Amino acid sequence: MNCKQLQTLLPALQEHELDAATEQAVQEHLTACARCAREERLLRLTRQALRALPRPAPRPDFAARALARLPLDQPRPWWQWVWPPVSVRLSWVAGAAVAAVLLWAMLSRGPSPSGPGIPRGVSIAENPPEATVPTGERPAVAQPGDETGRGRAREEQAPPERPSPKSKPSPALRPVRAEPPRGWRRVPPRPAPTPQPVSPAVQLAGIDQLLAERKYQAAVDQLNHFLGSQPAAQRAAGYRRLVRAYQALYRLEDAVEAHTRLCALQPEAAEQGAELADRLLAEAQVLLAEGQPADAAEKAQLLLAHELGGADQQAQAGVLLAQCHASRGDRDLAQATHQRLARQFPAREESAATLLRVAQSLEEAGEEAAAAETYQQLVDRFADDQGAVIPRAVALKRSADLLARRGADEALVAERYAQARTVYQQALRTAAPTPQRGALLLGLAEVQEALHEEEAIATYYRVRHDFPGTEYARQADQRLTERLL
Amino acid sequence: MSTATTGWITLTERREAMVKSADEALIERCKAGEAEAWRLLIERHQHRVYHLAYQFAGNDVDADDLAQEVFIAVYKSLPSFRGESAFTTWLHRVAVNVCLNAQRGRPKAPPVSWEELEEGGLAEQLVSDLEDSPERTVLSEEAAALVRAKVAELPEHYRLAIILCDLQDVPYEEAARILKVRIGTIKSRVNRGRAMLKEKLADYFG
Repeated sequence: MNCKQLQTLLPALQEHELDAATEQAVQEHLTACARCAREERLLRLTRQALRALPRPAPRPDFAARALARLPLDQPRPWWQWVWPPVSVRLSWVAGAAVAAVLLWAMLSRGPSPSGPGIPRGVSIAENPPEATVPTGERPAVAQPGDETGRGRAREEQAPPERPSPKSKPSPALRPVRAEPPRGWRRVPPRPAPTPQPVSPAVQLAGIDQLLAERKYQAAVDQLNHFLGSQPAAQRAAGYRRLVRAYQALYRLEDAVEAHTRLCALQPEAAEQGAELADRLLAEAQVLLAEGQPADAAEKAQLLLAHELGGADQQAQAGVLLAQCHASRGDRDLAQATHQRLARQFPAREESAATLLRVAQSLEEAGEEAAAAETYQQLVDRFADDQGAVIPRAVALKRSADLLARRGADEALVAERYAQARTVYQQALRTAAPTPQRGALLLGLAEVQEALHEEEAIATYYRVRHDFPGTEYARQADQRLTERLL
Repeated sequence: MSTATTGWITLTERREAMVKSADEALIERCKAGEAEAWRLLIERHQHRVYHLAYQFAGNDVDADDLAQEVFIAVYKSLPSFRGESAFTTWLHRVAVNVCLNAQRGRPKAPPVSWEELEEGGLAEQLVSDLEDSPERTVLSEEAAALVRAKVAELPEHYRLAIILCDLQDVPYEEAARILKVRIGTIKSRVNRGRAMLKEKLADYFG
C-alpha cells in the first residue's frame, strides 16, 4: 500500500468501515510512514474536536418566548390553509394560460353559426372590459370609434350586399348590435397610463432592496431590464449587482459573464473577482469530490480563462484542472496542464508561496523535472526577498531531495543542501516561537542529517525540548531513535 | 432486511414510528391553531433547532433570536407541510434555510488569526483537551470557539454537511433528504469538509 492509496482509505478507517485485512494493511503502513501517521492523527483529532464541541442549550424560557412571537391569537388567513403548494399553483397558471390561448384562437377565428352569446364581428380586443359599466342588465358590446357600430360591423362581417335604398335589411342580414343595450352606458376607453421616468438611482435602490430581501431572481430580471438603457457609469453599478445576484443563485457562468462586462467598463473592478474565483474553486472541488471531473474542469477553466482572482487562486485552479484530467484518465492532458502550470506561473511576478504550491503539486504529480525547475526559479527570483525566506528554505531542501532521488552528482546535492541549511538558519533567526518554528527546526535537522552533520542530533533534541507533545517532537523522537540505532 | 419481509421491528424503527406518530398528532393540533400544541412542538424540537442555530450564529444571543425565527418560519410554512417526509427532516430544512438566509445578510466574521490564538495558548490547550481524554472531553469555551470559527470558514456545501452530520448527529440518509442530494454526495462532502478542517486546524494540533 502506498501513501496515496492510504489517503483515500483514511475516511473509511475513521468510520470503522474497512475490512480486517485492509485495516491491518493500513495500520502497518501507518506504523512505517511518519507522514501518513501524521495525517491520520490530524484527521482523528479533527473529528474528536468536532465531537467534543459543547452542546449549547436554549434558555429555560425559550419555548415561552418563541410561543409569544407566534401570531396565534390572530386568525390565519383562510388562503394559507387552502392555498396549494407551488407546483399545484403553477399547474393552475399553466391551465389558465392554455384556456386563454384556446379562447383567443376561437374568437379570432370568428363565431360559429350557432355560437353562444358572442356577437358576430366583435372581438375581445375591441371590447376591453373597462369599456362598459354594468347597471343591471347583461353586458353587451361597444364599438369604439363608431357610435352605433353598425357600418363597421357590416363591413367586417357581411359581404357587401348592395342594399336597396328602399328596402330594410332582413333580420338575418342585420348587422350585429354594437350599441350598448338599455341599462348600460358607454364610457370612453381609459387612456393608457404614461409611464413616469424613474431615475437610475431609484431603480438601483429598488434592486438593492430586492437583493437585501434575497429575491435574487427578481433582482436579476430587473437588472437585465435596467442594463438595457443606461449609460456606462450606471451599467457598471448594475453589473456589480448582477454578479452578486448570479453568485447567490449559483449561476456562476452568468456571474463570470457579468463580471467580465463589469471589468470592460471599470478595469479596476477586476480585483473583485477574488470572491467569484473562490466560489468557482469551491464548486469545482465539490464536483471533483462528487466524481464529476468534467464539470469540475469546466469551472476551473472558466476561472483560468477569465483570469479571475489572484495568482494563488489561478494556480489552485490549474492544479485542480490537472487533477480533473487525471481523474478522467487523460494522463496526456494532465501532463500538458502541469507543464503549462510550470511554464506560466514561474514566468509571472507571483508570490513565492504560489510558486511553492505549484512546485509541490508538480512533484506530487510525478513531474519531477518541472518541479525541480520551478523550485529553482523560486530560489532565484526571491533570492533577496526577506519576506520569502521560508518558501525559499523549503524549496531548496525539496529540490535537494529531488536531486538526490534522481541520482544527481553528490557534490551538487551537497551544495544544494548547504544552501538550504543557510536559508533555514536565516529563517530561524527571525521566526516567532510558534509551531512554525518547530517545522523550520525539523527541516533544518533533516538538511543537517543529509549533510552528515552531528548537529542534526542536537537540533532534533531541541525540537523535542521546545515543542513537547507535538507532531514535530514525535517526528524528532523517531529520527533520533533511528539515528541512535 | 425490511420490516415487511421479516415481520420484525427493531427498537430504532419502533422509536422512529412513535416519534413520527407523536409529531403527526401534534402537527394536526398545531394546524388547528391550538396554542398548547405549539408549545409542545417548540419544546419538543427546541434543542435541535437551537443547536443548529448556534452553529451558524456562534453566540447565545444571536442563536436565541435565530432559533425563534426558525419557529416563526415553521408557523408560516406549516400549511405547506403535507407529511411527505418526516417532520424533523422538514423542520431541519426550514431551519437550514432560515439560518443560511440570516447568515448571508450578515458581514463575515474576520478569521481567527494564528497569533491571536498563540497569545492565549489555545493551541496547546486544544491538543491537551483532546489527547488527554479523547472520548470524554468537552472543549473549553475558547477552544470550541476556535473550532467553530474554522468550521464557519468552510465553503457552504461542506459546512452544511459537517454541521448536520458531525455536529447535529443527523444520519447521512436524513442529511441527504434535508439537503435534497444523494447520500454519496453527503458522504463525500463530509469527508472533504473534515479534510479541509484538518488543514485549518493542523497548525494548532502541532
